[in-house]
Amino acid sequence: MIEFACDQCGTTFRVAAEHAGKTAKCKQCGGAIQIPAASATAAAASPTQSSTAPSGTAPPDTDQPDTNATSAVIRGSGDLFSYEITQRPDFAMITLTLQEGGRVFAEPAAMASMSPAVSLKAGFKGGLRKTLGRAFGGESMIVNTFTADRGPGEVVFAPGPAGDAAHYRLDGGSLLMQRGAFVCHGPGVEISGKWQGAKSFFGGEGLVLLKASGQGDLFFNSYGAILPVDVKDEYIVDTGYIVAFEDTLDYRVSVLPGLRAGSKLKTFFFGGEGLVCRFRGQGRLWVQTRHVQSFLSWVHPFRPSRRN
Amino acid sequence: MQHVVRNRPSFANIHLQLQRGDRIIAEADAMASMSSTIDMRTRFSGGPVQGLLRRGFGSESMFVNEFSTASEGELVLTQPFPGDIECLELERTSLFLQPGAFIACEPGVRLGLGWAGLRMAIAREGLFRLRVSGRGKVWFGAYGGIFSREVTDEYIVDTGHLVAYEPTIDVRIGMAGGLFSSIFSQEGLVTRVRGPGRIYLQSRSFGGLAAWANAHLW
Amino acid sequence: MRHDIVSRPAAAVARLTFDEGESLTCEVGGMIAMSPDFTVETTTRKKRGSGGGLLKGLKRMLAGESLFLNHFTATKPDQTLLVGPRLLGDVIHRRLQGGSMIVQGSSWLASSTAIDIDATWQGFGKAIFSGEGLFWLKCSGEGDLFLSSFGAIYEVEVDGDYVVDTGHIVAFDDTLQFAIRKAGASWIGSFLGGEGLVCRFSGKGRLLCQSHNPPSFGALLGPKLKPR
Repeated sequence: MIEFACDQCGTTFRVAAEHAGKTAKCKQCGGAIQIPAASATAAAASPTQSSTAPSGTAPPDTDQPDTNATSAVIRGSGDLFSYEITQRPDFAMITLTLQEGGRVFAEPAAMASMSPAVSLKAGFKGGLRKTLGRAFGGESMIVNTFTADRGPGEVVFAPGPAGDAAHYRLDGGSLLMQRGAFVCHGPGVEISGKWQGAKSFFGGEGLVLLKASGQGDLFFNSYGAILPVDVKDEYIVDTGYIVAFEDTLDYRVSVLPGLRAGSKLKTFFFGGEGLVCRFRGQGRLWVQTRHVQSFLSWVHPFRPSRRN
Repeated sequence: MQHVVRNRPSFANIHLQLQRGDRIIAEADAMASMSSTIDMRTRFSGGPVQGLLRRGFGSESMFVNEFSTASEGELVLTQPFPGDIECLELERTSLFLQPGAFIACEPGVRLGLGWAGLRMAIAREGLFRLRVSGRGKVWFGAYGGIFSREVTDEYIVDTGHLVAYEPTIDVRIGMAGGLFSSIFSQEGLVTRVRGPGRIYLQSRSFGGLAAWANAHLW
Repeated sequence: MRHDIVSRPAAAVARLTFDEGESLTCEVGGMIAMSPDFTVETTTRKKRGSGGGLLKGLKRMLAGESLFLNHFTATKPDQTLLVGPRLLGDVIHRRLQGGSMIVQGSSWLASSTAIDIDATWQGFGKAIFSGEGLFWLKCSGEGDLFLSSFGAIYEVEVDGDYVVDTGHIVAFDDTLQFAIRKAGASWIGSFLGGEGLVCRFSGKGRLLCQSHNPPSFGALLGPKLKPR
């Protein structure tokens, strides 16, 4: 464990040694800190780690989740804006700092906060055909345009579910995303809907995708953490865990072999559909570590009942 | 007394080591675990009338627990939802907290109920807000990660994302854009804050979570 | 079997790498992704050929459904499996070496096929209201045990006495003694004060706790959702 203090406000932190040398953001004051190399401060049993008084032995350090660990902030810049993805990996938010004239296009209700220099316009982007395609993809037909037309300003985007967010730079190719994964994009990117179902539409989620193409920046989010997978030959994923994938991959949705449709054993996955996607070829795939259906089945008994 | 907030911002929880003479006031339901040497006493917070009002309009119950020890012991405090916890030291200063944000404080901190204004209620921010003031530490939490902004002029916060703010901040409800855009953008009403002062925001909102879940339900 | 737990403490999953012939049991629904060379057996029983017999009491109803298990066996070397729980939360690994752990039912994620799972354990009796949906599993034997939680998992080395709100118990060594009681000095005080039931552990042993508990979150969020 490394112990260090923020230069600006003096708050001390302890992080796992693997973060040595990284740049992080102080949780107290927001200033940038350079995490030093592993210090001589031994991972001694601190009072906060053991239990009762009199204390027993502290549990092994490697087993504890990081105490006050900083998660890597993702930074970069796009066309007329710079971005920062913070509060990772579980409550990730995207802060875009727009230069005057800069603009981004976002999923409705994604905005968490913004400077008054930025103006918001709701609109139907891309014409009717593209709009319907987007509706099919589960995304609403509205795309909100945020423009810093009164000077430079910032917009903070926050998705609905708990999870991570990622940035992807499109350079002529395409990225396919699950419904609900889209947050916002910069100029030069086109979003369209694409349906790829293996079961009947009324059977459940199938695999409803959005396609992002062009030249520009794209931001997507997940439910749970994002695990990037570089597919080399073949990889099988339950459809509900797919966030996004490069279109260089071949994909096929099917029921997992060995399950007969209609048998009660089709509840093989939490998805309940027994639907998996088989990826082949070479390309990157982003998998999320939680499934919306299991969240919904857990919260079900807490929902108000219609009769009331 | 030693204290640390662990597992920020995902499932933040407060680990305290209390010594004889230390006292901690905490929300009902905040205790996850503790040494058997810790004593817990229940009391009304701020008197019965205030207690009832808080129960009616905030997420806090009308009771709080007071923890102390005759020797020493460990206490782990949490909140009902996943998210972040921030610890601030009040020095004869005060802070406004949104309903449900308060978790615990030292005895020198007073808890008071304030009227948040009708417009805040319309924006579903809540009729009341909690005012914490005095001397000592206060722990508050949020659904999501907590981040702050030092507001000099004006800043716009989507409803459901404001957690706490200094009393120098002026809070108003307004529209996100023009009338058409405010409705169709689904951003609706927003909170316009005017500085100078510091505001604390959360990177998720219950409204956003409910909307995401509802989109998959029928 | 090699394991690697990533994305702790809120979206944790276990990445498991199998040698040829190695086996793992997990609840139906726990699998996120897998490499292709596995045989999968779905059943309520112990894996064929591993000793036979119904896993005791595993016809228990969980949210109206029977508890089905998957037994995964690698048919080639270096097969990977990604396993995760239903809710946001943590995952932890424990190596059992002959002893037993009592595990909260929804916290059991996966275990080596050799580990015995007994769902008839009634140590808490009727003290913990079954309306909470809590049930307990006694896991014994030798092998790997993977547990999940709602919240971050923290371990307490009990040596004396320790008190936990019952909704925050993930698992504990069965060498510990325990007693369920009301939290505060008086029944009224503790009930209205918000703390319901607590478990007082005594003796010597390890206790795994979770920082949050699902019913508190469900009760807060549920009313904001569409009626069912």
